[in-house]
Amino acid sequence: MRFSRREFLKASLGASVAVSLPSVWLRAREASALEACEQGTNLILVELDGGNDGINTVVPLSNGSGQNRTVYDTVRQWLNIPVSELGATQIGNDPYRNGELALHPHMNGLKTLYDEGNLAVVLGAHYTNGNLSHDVSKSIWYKADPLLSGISDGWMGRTLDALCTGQRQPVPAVDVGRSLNPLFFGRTSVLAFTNTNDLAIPANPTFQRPEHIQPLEQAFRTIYEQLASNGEGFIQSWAQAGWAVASRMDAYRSVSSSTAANLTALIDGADGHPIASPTPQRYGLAYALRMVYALLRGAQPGNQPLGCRVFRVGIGGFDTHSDQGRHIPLTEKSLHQKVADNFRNELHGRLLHQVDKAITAFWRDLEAANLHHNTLIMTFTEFGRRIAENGDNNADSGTDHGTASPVFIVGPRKTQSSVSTFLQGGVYGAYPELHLPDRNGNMVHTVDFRNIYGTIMVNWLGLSQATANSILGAGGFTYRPLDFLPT
Amino acid sequence: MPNITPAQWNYETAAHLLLRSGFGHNGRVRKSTGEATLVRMLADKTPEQAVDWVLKLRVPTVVPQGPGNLVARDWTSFGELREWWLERMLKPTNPALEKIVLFLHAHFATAQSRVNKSLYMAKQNALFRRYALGDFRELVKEINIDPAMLWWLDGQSNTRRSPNENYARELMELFTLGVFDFAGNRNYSQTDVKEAARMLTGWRIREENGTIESYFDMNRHDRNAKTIFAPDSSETPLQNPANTYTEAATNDASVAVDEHRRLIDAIFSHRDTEGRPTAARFLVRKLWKFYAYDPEVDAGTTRQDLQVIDDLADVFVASGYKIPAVLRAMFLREEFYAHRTRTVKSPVEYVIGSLRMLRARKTNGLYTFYDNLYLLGDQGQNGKGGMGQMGQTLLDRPDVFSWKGNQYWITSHALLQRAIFAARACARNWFTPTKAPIKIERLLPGGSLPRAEIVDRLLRLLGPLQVDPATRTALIDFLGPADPINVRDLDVKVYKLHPLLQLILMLPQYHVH
Repeated sequence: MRFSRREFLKASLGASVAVSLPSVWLRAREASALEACEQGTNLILVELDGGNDGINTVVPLSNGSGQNRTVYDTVRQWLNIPVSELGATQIGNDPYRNGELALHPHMNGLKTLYDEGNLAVVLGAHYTNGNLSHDVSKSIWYKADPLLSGISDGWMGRTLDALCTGQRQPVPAVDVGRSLNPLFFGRTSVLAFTNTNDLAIPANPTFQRPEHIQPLEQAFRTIYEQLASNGEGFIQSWAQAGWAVASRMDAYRSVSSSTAANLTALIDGADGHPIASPTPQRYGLAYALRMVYALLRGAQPGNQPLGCRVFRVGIGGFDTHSDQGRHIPLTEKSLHQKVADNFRNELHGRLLHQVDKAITAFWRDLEAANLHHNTLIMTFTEFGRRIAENGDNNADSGTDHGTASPVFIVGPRKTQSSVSTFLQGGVYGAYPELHLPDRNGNMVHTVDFRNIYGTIMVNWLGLSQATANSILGAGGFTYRPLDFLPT
Repeated sequence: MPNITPAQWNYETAAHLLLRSGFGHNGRVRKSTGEATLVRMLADKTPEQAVDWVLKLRVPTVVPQGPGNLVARDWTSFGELREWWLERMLKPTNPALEKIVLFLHAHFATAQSRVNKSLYMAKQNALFRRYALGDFRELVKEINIDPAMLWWLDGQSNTRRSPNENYARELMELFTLGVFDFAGNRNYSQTDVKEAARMLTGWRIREENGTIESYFDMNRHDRNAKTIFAPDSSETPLQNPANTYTEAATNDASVAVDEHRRLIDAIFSHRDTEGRPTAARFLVRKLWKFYAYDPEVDAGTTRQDLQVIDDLADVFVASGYKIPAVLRAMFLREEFYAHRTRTVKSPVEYVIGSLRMLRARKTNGLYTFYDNLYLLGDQGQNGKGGMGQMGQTLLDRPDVFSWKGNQYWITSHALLQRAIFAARACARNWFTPTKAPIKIERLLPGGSLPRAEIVDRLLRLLGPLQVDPATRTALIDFLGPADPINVRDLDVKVYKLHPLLQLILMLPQYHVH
C-alpha cells in the first residue's frame, strides 16, 4: 500500500472535490511532512473512556523478584482473577521484576496477536503526580500537557498541523463519533461523523429532484466556503466544519465496508457467538472500526485512498467505581454463554471482551485487504484505577480513580511492514510495584506516556525529533524513544 | 457596577435577553412592521422592567398536581419524561424557569445510562424546579442525598468500611469548587476528597410502592472525626487555614444525619488563594458561560472578565446564594449584551429556539418532524435530526461532565444533524399546507416585497442576525431574479421562502449567539 506523493495528491483531489481551498490550509511545506505523506502510514487511536482498570487488563501471574501477585491477591479479593484462569493468555514477563504476566482471560484475540508478534504492551504508562480527575487527566492525555501549562490544542491536532503543512489535503483525520475529541483540536480540519451515509446536505424531504436541491446546495457552498476563510471565531469554526463536509462528501459516501468480513460477522453475531440481539451499543467499537476500515480501503471503484490517515474511535463505560464485576471462571461458564447473557455481573470483563474482539477482527480484516502493512493501532485511557478494590468484597465492589495503566499497540511485524519501521512485539516498560504505591494508594508510573506519543510521531508518522519535542516539550520535556518501533 | 442604560436598550438587546434568559421570542409577528411582537414590547420598556418581566417566573412552590405532576406520576420511560420537559420549554409561559432547570440539569450531571429508572430523574427534575428560585447552597445539600445522584455517583455504596470517592470528588470538582482556582492553585487535595467521602457515608435508597426516598443508615456511617481543607504541603500548600473544618466524632445519629449539610457549608465558606469565595466564583463563572459567554478569568489569560465575575459573585454571596438575584444582576450587566457571536447554541437552544421563533406547530402530517424530536436518543434512523444526534440528549449524557459547549458542539456530524432538523422544520409542499409545521405567511406578512427586504426581515426575526454582505447577497440570490416577489404566491412560498428559512437555520451565524 505504499503510494507516492503524486498519487496521494491525486487521491485527495478527486474530480468531485477539486475546489480551491481556504488559505488556512495552505502553508509552507516541511520536508519531513512530505516524507511522511509518502510513507503513507495510518494510525488508529482507540480510547477506553472512563479510566481502564489496568491491573485486571494485564494481570500479574507471579511475583518474580517483586511482590505484585502477592499484593494483588491481598487487595483484590472480589475482583481477583485466579492464576488458573490466566494460563491461556500469558504473555511475556515484566522486564523489570521478571514476574509473569497475562492478559485478561477474555482477551484471547490479543493474546493470539501477541504470539504472532503483532502486539506490544507498554506497562505503567502515565505521568508524574497523576491527577485523579477524569476531566483533568483526559485533558493531560489529549494535550500531552502534564504540567497543565494551558495548551489549548491537542497532541494529534498539533501533529497534524506539522504533518499537513503545505499539503493540499483538507481532512487528514476522522473522529468516528459525534463530537470531535480534543486531541484533534488544532488548525487542521478534522471530520467527526459516525456514518458516511449521513454526509449530505439535506433538502426539504418533499423535494428531492436535482432542480430543488441544487440551488440550496449552491447557496450553502457559497456561504460556507466564504466564511470558512473569512469568518471569525466560532462562525469560522462552524463554516470550516461544514466546508470540510461539503468538499469531501461525495468521495466519502462512495466507500464500502462490505469486505470487512470479520467485523461484519462480529456485528451480526455470526462469528459463532450466540448473540441474542446484537445492538450497535454492544459492539459499538466494531461499528466504528468498520467505518475506519472503509475509509482506509478507500472509494470505489479502484479503492483510491481518501487521504485520511489518523482516526480515533472510542468505547465508554470503564469508570467502574462499583459493580465492576467478579471474573466468572471459564470452567463455570463458557465464553459463549457469557456473551449470550451479555456478561451478567461481569462489567469490566465484558468491556475488555468487546475491545479484544473488535480490535482483533479489525486487524484480520486489514490483513485480508492488505492494509495491515502500514497501519498501527494504539489504545489509551485517561488513567488506571486504584490498586485496592473498594466495597465489602461483594458485588458492589469496584475500583476508584488511579494512575498508570498499560497501553496496547498493534501493528505489522517485521516481515509484514511496508514502511521503514515495524512493530516489534513484546512487553515494554515495567509493571509498577504494587507494594510501593503513592500516598493515595495508586501505582507509580514507569513510562511517561509522551514517550509513546513521541515514538509514534517520529518513527511511525515521520516527524523529525525536533518537531516532536516541540509538540511534546511543555516544561522542557524531551521524549525518549521506546523500542516497539525500531529504526 | 456598570449596568446597561435605557439609552443602550433597543430591539437587539431585548431580543438578546429573550434568547439568553429563555429560548427566544414566541414567534408572534407584528403585521405592520414584521418585527417580533414580544421583542418590541420589551424593547419599549426600561432594562429593569424588561429583566423583571422575563424573570417573573411563575414557579410553583410545589410541583403541580394532576396530570402534569412530575413526581406522583409513574414515569415509565425516559422518552415520555423528555417529551414532558421539552413541551414545557416550547410553551410560551415559563421559558426562563426552564432555562435555569436546564442549567441545573447540566450542572448536576446525572444520566439515565446509569440511573436507568425515569422516576429517579423525574424526582431530581422536580427538585430543580423547587429550588430554581431558591438558595443554591441548600440545593446542593439536597443533591447530596438525591436518590438519582446517590445512584449515579455511587453514594449508596459509600460506607464506613469502604468509602467510595466518586461523589465526593465530583461534588468539589464539578458542582461547587473546581479543581483549580482562578490563580491556578488547587482548591482541595486528594485527602480532602477522602475526608469528604467519609462525611457522606451512610446514605441509602429505599424503593417502596412506587416511591423512592433516600434515608440515613448510621450503621454504614463513619463515626470518626474528619478534617477537610487542611493545608497539604504537596497539593494545597497555599490553602487558607481558615478554610479548615473539623467534624467531631459522634455516635449520635441525629447529629450525623446532618453531617453532609455541614460539609456543604464548609465548602461554601472556602476562600481561594486570592481570598475570594471559591464556590461563588466557580458557580458564577459557570452561569456566565451558560447565559452569556465563556469568560476570561484564569491566570494566563487577559482576565478581562474578572471584574464581572467578582461583582456577580458578591451579589450571589450577599443574597444568600439566591439564584434569581444573581440572574437579575447578570441580565442587567452591560457586558451581558456585549457579545452576540461568542457562544455556540447548544442543540436544545437551537431546536427549541427555532421552533419557538418560527411558531412551529405540532403536526401529524406527512412530513412530521415535531414528534420525531421526542425520539431524541440515538436509536438508529429515528433519532436523525434529533438533539441526541447533535450531541445533547436531555436526561442522558455520555459521562459525568457537563456538556462542554462551544467548540465541543462544532463537528461535521452535528452540523449535518442540525441541517436535517432545519430541512424537516421548514418542509412544506404545495398540496398539504396544513401539514407544514411552519406557516410562512404568519412570519412574513405582506404582499409584494423586495427580495432584500424579505431576507432582512427574516434575519431580523431569527436573531437579529448580523451577517456579512457576501452571505446576505447569497441569500438574496437564492430567491431568484424576480424582484420584488409576491410572498403570497404559492410557488414562491413552497420553492423559495420555506427553503430560505431552512438556509437561514443552516447559517453559521445562526448557530452562535
